[in-house]
Amino acid sequence: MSETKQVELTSKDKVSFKVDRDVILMSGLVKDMLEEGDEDETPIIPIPNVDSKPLQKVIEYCQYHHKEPAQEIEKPLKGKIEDVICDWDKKFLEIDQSLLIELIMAANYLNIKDLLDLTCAKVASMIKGKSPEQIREMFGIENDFTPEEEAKIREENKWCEEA
Amino acid sequence: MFMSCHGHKTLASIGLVLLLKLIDDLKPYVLLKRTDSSEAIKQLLDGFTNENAMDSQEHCQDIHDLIMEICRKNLKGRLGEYPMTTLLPIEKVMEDESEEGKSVERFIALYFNVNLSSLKQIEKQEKVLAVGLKIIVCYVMGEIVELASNYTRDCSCFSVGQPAIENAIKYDSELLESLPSSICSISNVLSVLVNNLFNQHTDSSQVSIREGPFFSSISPDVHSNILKFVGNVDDLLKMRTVCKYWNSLIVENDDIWKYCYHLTKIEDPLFLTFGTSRTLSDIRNFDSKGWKNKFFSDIYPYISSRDSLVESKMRTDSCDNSFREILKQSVSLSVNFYREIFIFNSSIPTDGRRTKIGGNPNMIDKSKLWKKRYAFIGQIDFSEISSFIDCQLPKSGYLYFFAKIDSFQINASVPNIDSYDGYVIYQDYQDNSTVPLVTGIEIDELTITKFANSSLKLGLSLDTRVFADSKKEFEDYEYFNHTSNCPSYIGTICGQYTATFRNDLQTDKDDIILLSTNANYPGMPFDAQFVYTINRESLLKADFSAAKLFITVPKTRRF
Repeated sequence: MSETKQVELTSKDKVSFKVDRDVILMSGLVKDMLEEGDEDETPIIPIPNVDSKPLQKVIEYCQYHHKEPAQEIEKPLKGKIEDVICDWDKKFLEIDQSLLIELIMAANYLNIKDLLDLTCAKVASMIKGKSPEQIREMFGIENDFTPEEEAKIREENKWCEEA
Repeated sequence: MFMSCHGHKTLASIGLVLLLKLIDDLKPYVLLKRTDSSEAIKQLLDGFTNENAMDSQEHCQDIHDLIMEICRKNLKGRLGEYPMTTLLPIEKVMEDESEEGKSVERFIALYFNVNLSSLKQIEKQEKVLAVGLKIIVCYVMGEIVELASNYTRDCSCFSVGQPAIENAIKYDSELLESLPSSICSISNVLSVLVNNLFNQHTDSSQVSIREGPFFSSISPDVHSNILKFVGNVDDLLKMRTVCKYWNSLIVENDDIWKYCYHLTKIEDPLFLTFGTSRTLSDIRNFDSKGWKNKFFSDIYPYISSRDSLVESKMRTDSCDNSFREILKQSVSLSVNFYREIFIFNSSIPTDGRRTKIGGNPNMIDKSKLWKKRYAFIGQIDFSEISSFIDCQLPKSGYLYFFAKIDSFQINASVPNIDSYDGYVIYQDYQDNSTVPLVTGIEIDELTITKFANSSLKLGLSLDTRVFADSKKEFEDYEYFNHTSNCPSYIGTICGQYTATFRNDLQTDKDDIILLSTNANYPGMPFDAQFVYTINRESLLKADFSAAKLFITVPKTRRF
């Protein structure tokens, strides 16, 4: 068959995306599902955990990177993330925080390692050099320490520093 | 006399271990609290436990008797007499309102349950217990410091470091017997302590992040994936207080520390000079456990002592932040230099720095010019130097310095090394042709003023001089003179930035120092000063083959 095979993904909010099969094979999850076997013309794969907006981004990422394999981002991050990724990725990451978090979850769920690393590295880059308060605020994390517990950890860190 | 920061750390660790040992003798009355954190201390205690806990319930009437008994039993010989007669009478104990006493009390309350009901009740039991223990520990510490100071003075050294403390204990039989035997290896004690204390309060591996819109719904794997990218110890320590979940990840997920270990090795200038790609990939592929421990025992002490050194300098000189970075770089370089010496190895990439100490020369035709068995000491780029020296040296090209490192065995008791072998090569940017110097210059101009600052700008270490007049005193350098010859860096840099400046070289009066720097020569327990000199005539002719290498070691060495 000369035509490229396609796959239809359905997001949590019931939006359908048609994607080239080769492209979406970057997702470990989809790959596993497809390998299970049906030879339908256009298999429909529900992605019940991911909204259309992040799914759209995921597809965008796969469409670009299945041709241009992403450079592995080395752990840990040297300097800022912008120093180690390509221009396309930089542009790709110009998104707001909530979408970034959704994208992390989507990448994790769909099992796309490069995208997961990219987004995790982005978060790491964002939290480097920030104070705990700023980090909590940035990601809506609640401080679940009692003041005493927090003080204890501070003291412990201090001990470390002085040691 | 100062205490170096590593000395402080050492002393604090000994104090804590001694305190734990004393508390261990109170076993019948004092129990570890049943929490996870107590495991850490228990382990620690197990390492130091005496064969038999004190069996003194019968003859001890009250807590004060008990304290006296502990003192008698633990401090051997005359060491124990003084505190029992002078420091520990009950009136003294009751009077004591010092902070240390209170912190011992807090420490005990935090980790131990005290049950003194089998003893006669007296006023303020807990206080007597805490202050009594404190007095004993402080007294022993005081003795150690006194001995260590004497020892340090004998070596004509300026500040008390770890080796002085170790020796003080080693050569005093009473102290040696009184202290837990494991103290003999202080560095072990240190890493055990740091790691155990660092572990406490991590209540569980339970995920206790808030149920909320986004972040909390990310799976644990992803959180640790993010933290693996961070890799910076200061950030990681700070992030422990973000939330309980992160704290438990940071404390328990060893991989995070594996990456932190790597990043520090790659990024920190302390490890930069010799952090070649080869050694880094070795670490990366080396699959092992205990990265957190490794980090805190192998890497962190270097960083923290470097930083405390930089901070103390920053405080005295009120410099700005850019100076902090430069200073950090400089101290790192000095410390780093010769940690691992490497003999000719053309496969190591050059780092692009132009004037530098250590590393890899960026010369053309390396295999021809870098003789086997010689170590690369440093290189000078004339175009960088020319803005600091107002005289007619070549305006371009490099000067490379080498020293043979296996040509002499250094006997530490001999202050001057008699045989040394080194050479200097000039190479222009394009090839190795020699550009003759313009003749007729006044060599008196060949001095660099205020080099302390310019050496920093060049990315050299603070204790490096280039193109200096060998007969002049270097007033500019007094700033670091005071830390010279400290015994605190045997086997480790901790606590001291060492710099030795001597102008009593056996050189001809008119010689010019091309390069002088301090380096830790392999096999030597202390830094030596590497000095390359050249006579003025040869310099004018750019005949660097006439350059001579001198290596000197501090006169006052007695190890």
